[in-house]
Amino acid sequence: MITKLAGAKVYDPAHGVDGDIRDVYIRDGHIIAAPDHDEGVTQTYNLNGKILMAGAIDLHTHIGGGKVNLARTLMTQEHHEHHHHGSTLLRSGSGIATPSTLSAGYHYAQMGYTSAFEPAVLPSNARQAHLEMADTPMLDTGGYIMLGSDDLLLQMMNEGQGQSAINDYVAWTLNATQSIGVKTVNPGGINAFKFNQRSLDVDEENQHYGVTPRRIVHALSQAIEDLGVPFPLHVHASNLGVPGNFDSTIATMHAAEGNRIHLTHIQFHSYGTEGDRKFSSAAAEISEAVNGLPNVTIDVGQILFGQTVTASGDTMSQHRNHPHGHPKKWVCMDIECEAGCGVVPFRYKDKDFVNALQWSIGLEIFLMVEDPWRVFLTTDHPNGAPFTSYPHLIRLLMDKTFRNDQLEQINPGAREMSVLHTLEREYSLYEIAIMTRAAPARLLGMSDYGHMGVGAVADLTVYNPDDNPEIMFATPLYVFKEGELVVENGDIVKTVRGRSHVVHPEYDRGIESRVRDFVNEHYTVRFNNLRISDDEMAEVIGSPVVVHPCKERSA
Amino acid sequence: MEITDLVCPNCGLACDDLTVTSDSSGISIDQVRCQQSVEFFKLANLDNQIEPQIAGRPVSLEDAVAKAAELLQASLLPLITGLATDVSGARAAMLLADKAGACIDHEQGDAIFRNTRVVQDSGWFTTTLTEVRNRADVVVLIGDDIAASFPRLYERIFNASALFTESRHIVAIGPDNAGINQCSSASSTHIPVALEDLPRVSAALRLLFNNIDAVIDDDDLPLDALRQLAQQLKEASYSCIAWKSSSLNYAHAELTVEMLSELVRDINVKQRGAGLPLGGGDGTTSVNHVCTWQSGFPLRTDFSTGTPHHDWWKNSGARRLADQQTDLLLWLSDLSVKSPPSSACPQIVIGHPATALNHVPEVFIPTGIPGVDQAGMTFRMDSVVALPLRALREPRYPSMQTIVESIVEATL
Repeated sequence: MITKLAGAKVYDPAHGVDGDIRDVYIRDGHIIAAPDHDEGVTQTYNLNGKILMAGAIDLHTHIGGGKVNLARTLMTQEHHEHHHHGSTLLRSGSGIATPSTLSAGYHYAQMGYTSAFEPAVLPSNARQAHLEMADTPMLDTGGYIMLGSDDLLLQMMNEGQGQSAINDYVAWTLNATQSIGVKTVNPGGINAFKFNQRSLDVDEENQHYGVTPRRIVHALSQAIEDLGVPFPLHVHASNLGVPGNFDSTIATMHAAEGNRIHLTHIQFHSYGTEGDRKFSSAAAEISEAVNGLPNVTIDVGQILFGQTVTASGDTMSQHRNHPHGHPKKWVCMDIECEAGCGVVPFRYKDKDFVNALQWSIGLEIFLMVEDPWRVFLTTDHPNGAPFTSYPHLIRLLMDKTFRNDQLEQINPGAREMSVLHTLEREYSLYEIAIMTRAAPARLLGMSDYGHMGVGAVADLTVYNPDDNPEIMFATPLYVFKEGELVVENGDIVKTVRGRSHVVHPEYDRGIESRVRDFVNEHYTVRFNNLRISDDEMAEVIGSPVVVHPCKERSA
Repeated sequence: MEITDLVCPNCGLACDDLTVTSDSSGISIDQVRCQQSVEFFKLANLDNQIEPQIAGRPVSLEDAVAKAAELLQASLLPLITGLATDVSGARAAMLLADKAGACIDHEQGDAIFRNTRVVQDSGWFTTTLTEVRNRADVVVLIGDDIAASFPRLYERIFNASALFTESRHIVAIGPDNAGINQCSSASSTHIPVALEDLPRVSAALRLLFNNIDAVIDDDDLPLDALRQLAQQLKEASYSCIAWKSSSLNYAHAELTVEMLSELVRDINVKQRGAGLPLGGGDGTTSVNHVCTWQSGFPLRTDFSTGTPHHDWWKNSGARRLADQQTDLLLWLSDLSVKSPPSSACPQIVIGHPATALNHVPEVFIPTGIPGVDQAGMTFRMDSVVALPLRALREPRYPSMQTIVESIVEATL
């Protein structure tokens, strides 16, 4: 049983293939070498003139966990306005910015996405995040576990515990929560807010523990390196949304001291204080820093105009920013001596000076960061815009005329301050394939995904070429998940359940007694009930794990 | 077989430190600290040979499933309720609601929606049990019968050692003292208030916290005690305002919850504090969560038009039953033995083998019990922590999920 995808223009940046006409063969869900004389081919898709890429991978999208359900509840009105029928094949659902899990899976698949990663999983809420992702069909998923405001880590750092102990704790947490990466959100700041600190700069101490964000970023990024975890430390930097925060964003990059570090939704962290309104673009400074630091990767967190909702672990910033929200309702939570969350609806308006400049700043960063392997296409769904706006965003990147037309329509004050009209760059299909397929798979350590080499998992998307990239990327002709046709001309023809991608780095079992003592003495959950087993993932949660290898541990 | 660190799914505390012995004589708790958990496992030990029934007569499982499917196909306005169940049961109920075009609500929907409506309309600022245990130096408990509803609240939260506070002052507001005599801190107090006065009391407390007391009519309110509490809240490092929504059994009680949650927001302008909804038992948190993520709406969502439609009033299960706006009651409940209510319409009851059947249903199908017969998961009152339920014996009956999936298959 071999399926042949014949004659498409193939974009496979992992192998340097840039629009060459190729045949691709699939057997048992994987890509195989061309059989002699097409022997064994039982099905052929004639794809002359079509475009073939690996399935797209979203490495930062809030699709599961408690804050998403809170956001859905706050956004009831949107769900009243947007709901869809089920069928014998599909379940019904609702929502755009905060879609129901089943709708999210369908919509992602209909856009050619085959994997998506939830970037803010709390240890105590990891089961819920995995449950929601398991109930998101069509997609493989995974989560980044949040550390850096948990009292245990801060206590260890306050006591001067060495890097090796921190490495063990990080490795234990990745194992116990079935995660693929580590994220830190406003490092130490969520914790400081519980002690009533209202801001925390990179070199400012958490008053209770005397630990700075700089030390946290360094310790966690070092742990990732020492443990050989493929995915770099994922950092939501200090001072989200604060004018002038680009300084602390660059300071955060340097805090890694050369360790790999990923700055997420960097648009929200690239603000200057120039101009009459003391709010300006620092995209140039940020892009220059990224271009000069090969250890740094970023995703943008582009905003697009319209109603959405922001959901974040950054309680300190969300509480500070809630007066800017629309409609005027919001949720914050302090969570389990680990973290927190804040959910604030926002309506981004093109005629609003700040919103228009935010839009421009995101695009400036996309266009000024030179290496497409180090900048990723995100809207920080749903914080900047719903993921369904990706095709529109791709058009903004690929079509300068369209981009400049849009620029004409935004707030004039913001337009005057923007350098966007001077930027000539237009992304190519090859570069789009890098930033939405090859690069995220490589960054995540998913060696069998995001490319079309022999042995790769046959997650594939076929597009009808179109002069308008928004049309092309909105409705692929075919989507294959593990070699099975799941979407045809925008319709789901088969529903599939995904898996959960994780790493299980090694750790010294001695750390378990430290964690066990702390948890059993101070928490309201027993240590033994924190850990999610492989069996629980498969049988109760419903998303069996795929364990990706780590490099050998070095410290 | 001795099993440690076992989770009890009965109340919203979801205590996960039980030790039980499971052998041929049944399941027993080794160290009794809560009568509710004893009762839960006692009920699980009963009745190991209950057969499915049609109109009270024992039948095969296949016949019962076929009959249930037949009733569903003929139904125009099915209602799924009961729903004392875990995450797996909730997933099954949602599948059935969507495929059968049913309305879904928990039998404790009123208590759920006193909270959920506040989140929908204005949001709130809340916290979780581990934060309360370690940070809260002032705790306000609002409602009645709190100590009995959450038997280990003091032992596990309020009297437990704290990382960040030396002392804890508990203030109970309600008709009873919420068990403050159990409190290890001697300074705890009770402000006696009738439940129906809580709307005014919560507003007065908020006004007093904000130094606006001229407008309060103090004829029959314990104003001095509330003034003192407002002062304690101003001096707290981390205050916790906790309310039991099932106590607030009067019209528009959500406005009381909103008043309390706005007080929490006022506190957070300059200080720190958070709310805590005391609830979550009988699967309420689990089921509302699953409904929200799978449909995009909380409970009280109706699928009869093919898409989810949510309306907290129209889709109240109790209201639909009272107004006879349903033609088939599906009572799905595998954690509780509570009897379905009487109804003008026929009933399908699927769940706990020891379910009290005060009204003979058209179909009854016994199922396994989550955390006894099969693994599962339950959410705590704080809506954050989900804890694993383990299988303690060879399953006596198929799970709710298995039964419901077979009914759906037979219906299609």
